Amino acid sequence: MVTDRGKRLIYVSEDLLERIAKVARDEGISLNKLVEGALMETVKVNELGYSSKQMADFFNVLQTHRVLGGLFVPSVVLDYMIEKLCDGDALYQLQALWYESGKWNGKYLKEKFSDPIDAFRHFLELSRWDLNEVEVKSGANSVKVRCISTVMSLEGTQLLAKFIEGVMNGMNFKTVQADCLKGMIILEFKT
Amino acid sequence: MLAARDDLADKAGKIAQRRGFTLFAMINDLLELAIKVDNLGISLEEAVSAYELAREIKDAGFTLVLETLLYDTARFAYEKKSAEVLKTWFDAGAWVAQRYLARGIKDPLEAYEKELKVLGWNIPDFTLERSGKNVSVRILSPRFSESYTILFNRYLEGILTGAGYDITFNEVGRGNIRMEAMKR
Repeated sequence: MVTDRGKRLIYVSEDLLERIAKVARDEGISLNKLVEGALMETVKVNELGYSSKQMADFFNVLQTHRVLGGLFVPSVVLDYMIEKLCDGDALYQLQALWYESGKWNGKYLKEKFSDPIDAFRHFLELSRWDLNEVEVKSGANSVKVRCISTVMSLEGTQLLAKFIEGVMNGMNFKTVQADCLKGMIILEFKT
Repeated sequence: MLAARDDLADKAGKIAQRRGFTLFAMINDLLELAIKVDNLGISLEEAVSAYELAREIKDAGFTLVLETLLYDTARFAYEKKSAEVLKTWFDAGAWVAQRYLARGIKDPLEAYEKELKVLGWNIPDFTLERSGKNVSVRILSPRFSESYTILFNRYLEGILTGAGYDITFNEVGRGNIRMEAMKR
């Protein structure tokens, strides 16, 4: 870094320069202004207690949700509808719908991401805030998914389990183990 | 090399050091992020605001759920026990308004409008107009199912009521909500 009269020169990798020049052009600002703006946002994000890595991961998930049609809903409303109002046939039908939706999502993730399993882990971690733990372990020919929630109802857990199964089946994995208890999902898949 | 303000470079350098990165790596990561969000049609500044808002929504107990699944779930629930599910949506709306007020936000409707514009991407057309003590809200969303429109209408009623308004006019059709209210 080189310092000169209140300004400092910072290194930027060459391959990035072209791309950020395009961003600066799109936004109608100079490259230096863009870099300064980026630094200011770094400081702001840090002061809020987050990192730019967390932000980048979050935007990946957000973009996936935008494409797939995700939206924010008060958890209390979703839980109430699932837990208290959907039982018997309605719950079975919902499970089938969540499974089908999962399959569609799985196919999308497989097409969109170079590592769809890792993308799905991020998807679960960053969008299902009611989960306390998300573990997605990839083996040679298998994937294990474990989700733990202290607040999820049995019906909510069952729906999420069906969704996850759908996602993995959509990525061409076969289900070999499916355990689902209130707030706990353990699934294993093989290629 | 690019020039940056000395004070900013200093602050960013300290952050990088604390997080165990070099300033070079951190700035390059950040610029990658700027490129990514630019592809989404937003600036880095807008992205940070959206991120902040999303984290607030998370802390307020919201879940990010797939739209079709929510509409199906809402349909089943509404067909089964409409009065109960309507009450839950109304209460959730009132709670949202109360949360804004409790956080010292004087105009919960303005805060909600901002929230919807950034994260309510299933609602392409949302207008909130004020005239003295009166407000007029219009929502148009071709994606809303019929039952979801009715439930969302109740949610909106909850927000307005929680923010201290009385509903004076309400018209609901699939994907179309018009509501007028007066400040108490």
